[in-house]
Formats: sequence, structure tokens, C-alpha cells
Amino acid sequence: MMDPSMMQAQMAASTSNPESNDLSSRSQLFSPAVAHNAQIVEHVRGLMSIFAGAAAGVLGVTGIIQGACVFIIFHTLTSLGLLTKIKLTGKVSNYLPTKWYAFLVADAANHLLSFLLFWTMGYTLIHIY
Amino acid sequence: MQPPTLGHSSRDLLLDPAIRNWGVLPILVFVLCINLLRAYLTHLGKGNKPPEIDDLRRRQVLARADRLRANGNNIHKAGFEARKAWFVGKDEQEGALSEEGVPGAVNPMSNPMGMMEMVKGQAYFGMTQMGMMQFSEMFFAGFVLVKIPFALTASFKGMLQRGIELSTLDASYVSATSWMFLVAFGVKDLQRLFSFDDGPMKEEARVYALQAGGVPLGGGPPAPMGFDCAKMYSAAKGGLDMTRHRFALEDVEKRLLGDRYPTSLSATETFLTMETPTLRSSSLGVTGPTHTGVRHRSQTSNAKGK
Repeated sequence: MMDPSMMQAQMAASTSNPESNDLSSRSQLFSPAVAHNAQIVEHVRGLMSIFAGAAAGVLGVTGIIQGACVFIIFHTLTSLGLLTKIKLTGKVSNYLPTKWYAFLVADAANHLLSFLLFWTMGYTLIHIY
Repeated sequence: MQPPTLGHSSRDLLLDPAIRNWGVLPILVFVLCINLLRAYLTHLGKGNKPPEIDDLRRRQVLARADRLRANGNNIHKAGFEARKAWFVGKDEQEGALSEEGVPGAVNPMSNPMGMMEMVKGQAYFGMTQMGMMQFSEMFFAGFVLVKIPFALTASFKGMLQRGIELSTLDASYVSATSWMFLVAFGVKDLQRLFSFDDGPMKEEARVYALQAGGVPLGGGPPAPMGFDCAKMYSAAKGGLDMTRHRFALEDVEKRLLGDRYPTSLSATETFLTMETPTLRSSSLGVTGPTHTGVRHRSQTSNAKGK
């Protein structure tokens, strides 16, 4: 992922607290870089939901709660995997305008329907046919 | 003898593989292709109408004023005041934000071509959905296609099992129409993976990036309608007027040096009373900060009136 904090010379994003004098507490992120990062994260999460759904279906996971657990586990694991790209010591706020705990949970609902589709398909194709 | 099945529980129905070959997979492929086709068609049908130059110029001015207000603390006061004067005007000189004859709220009804485009876009979407529903009802009616992996109550039967009148059948077994809807909602991710490498789908990528990242790319996408120029101009002007400027790099040398910031008087006195090189001497009328960023002791004492 590109590091937009390197490009603070081109300020395109608005600050959250203009009164604060501390540069590290403001998020001056270069917006095309943020968009690029966000797109990559979306890609990864989309792929995750597809393969997790297929895996859940093939393994015969039934029941809403079990399926939701599978989805949450996969989602958290991939988010943690994405976090290791910044070595777990860098801050997520250097790359995306979210905090690390929001990053783990964010955008889950966007991919829930894909997960459901591939879960249904995997389950049906293996267990019903 | 029963054919060998893979992980098949005794409570599940066993369906004919022909249904899988000719029902489940074709609907999936069909919906995916329709979605891709629709995306490409909307992209082709957009047209190359160039934006109106006055409108674009005003939007850019507003964007710059907003940027100044947000990031003004990063430039020193003289620069900020100069830029603010350009926008807001000073001493009988009109600023850019006081432009005369700026249009008010744009009435969406008065732009028939734009309205037509939006309606056309929505119509494509709606028409394809209806068409797909009719298609699946016509060709795939009367049999169960797919089992949803979780248990549903009986009230879902009316919605999910159109055309199948079995009262004892599990509500999880659904008909082709509901499978089509499931696919239509879930295939957006797959479609996005297919079409975002390069080429004509960069526009869609921008829209998704906007939604995901929450930060507009460049200057932000042009607002479709209702862009009230006069009101936004006066709001920006008022905002800039009220902005309090505090130079963020005021004491940057203290922050940078931290503990090593020299506090002993003799060292600072010697340093500060050194002759500055002729290029930066005040004979040239330069009164800004020196190149090291450290304020000259005499300058600060003058400014503070000590």
C-alpha cells in the first residue's frame, strides 16, 4: 500500500481539528493514495467473502449463527492479515482514515451478500446434488 | 441402489443433477453477464459532454477556499493573509468569492437533458431486473432449485417458493426466482473483480473508492443537481473570515530539538547576534523568517514589543 503520509506536501484532505498544533494528531492524507488503498482493501475483502462462502458451503456449515461466525472469523483474519502488511506497528491512520479497531469491522456488510451467495451455492452443489 | 452421495444427510432432498446443469449455473452466468453488460452500456451511453467552464471554475474556487480554511495553519501568516485577501477581498478590492451574478440554486426541472440521462440510467436498471424476473418465472417455474443453508420459518414459503404448492416442504428449498434475486445481489463483488483491471471501468473504481475511502478524489465528483452557488460562496466567505490562523510551525525548532534546544543564554546570544549573510540582509527589504526558521531575537522582541 502506498504511504500517503509521505506526501503531506500536497494536502488535499481536510483536517479534523484545525486548532490542534500537533502534526501527528491531524490526518493529512493524500486522497488518491487513500482511494488506492481503499480499493485494494475492497478487493481483498471481496475475494475473501467469495472463498469463505464457498468453503462454508462445501464444508456443510448450516444454520445462520454458524454461518455468521464463519464469516466474522474470516473477515477478522483477513483484516489482521492486511494489518501485518504495515508490520502491526504502523498505524492504520497513516494509510486510511480509520482507526485500527474500526478497520477490523468496517465494510463487513458490503460483502455479506456475496458470502451468502457462495455459501448457498457451495452447499447446494455439494450436498443437494 | 442409491447412488453414492457426498456428505448427504438423510433429511435433505436429492435433486436431479440436470437441474444443476441447466438451472443453477445458467442463472448464475446469465445474471453475471447481464450485470456486466449493463455496466458497459451505461459507460458507453454516458457521452462526452464537456463540463460548463463557468460552473467548473466556480467549483474549483470553492474547493480552493475550503482547502485554505482547512490547511491554512501550515503556511505562515503573511501567506495565509495574502490568500485570504484574494478570496475575501480587502480594502475596497473585491475578492474572488464576492463575484457578481453567481447563479442561485439550480432548479433540476430546468435541465431536461440531465434529467433524461438520470431517468434513462434508472430505467435500464429497473428494466433489466423486471426482465430477469420474467425470464426466470417463464423458464424455470415449478421446481425447487437450491437449498438455503439455514433454516427459515414457514412464512418465507410464500415469498421464496412461488409456484410450488407443497405445504410440507422445508422453507429452505427455494425456487428459481429467489435464486435469481440471491445471485443478483451477491454477484456484485464478482462482477467488480471482473471489470476493474483497467480500461473502461476506471470510473466505477473511482465511485467505489469514494464510497470506501470516504474521501473524494481530486476535487470531488461534480454534484448532479441543486448546486447552490451563491449560498455556498457566501458560506465560504464567512468561514474564511472567521478562520483563526495559527502557524503550525511556530515553535517547530523547539519540537524538533526537544531536549537539545539550547537554553543557556550565552550560546543563543552569540548565535543570534551573528551577522546574517548579505543576501538575506534587511537592506533588501526582506523581513520574513531567516532560512533556518529561527526567528531573529531582535525581530521577535520588536514584534512582541519587549
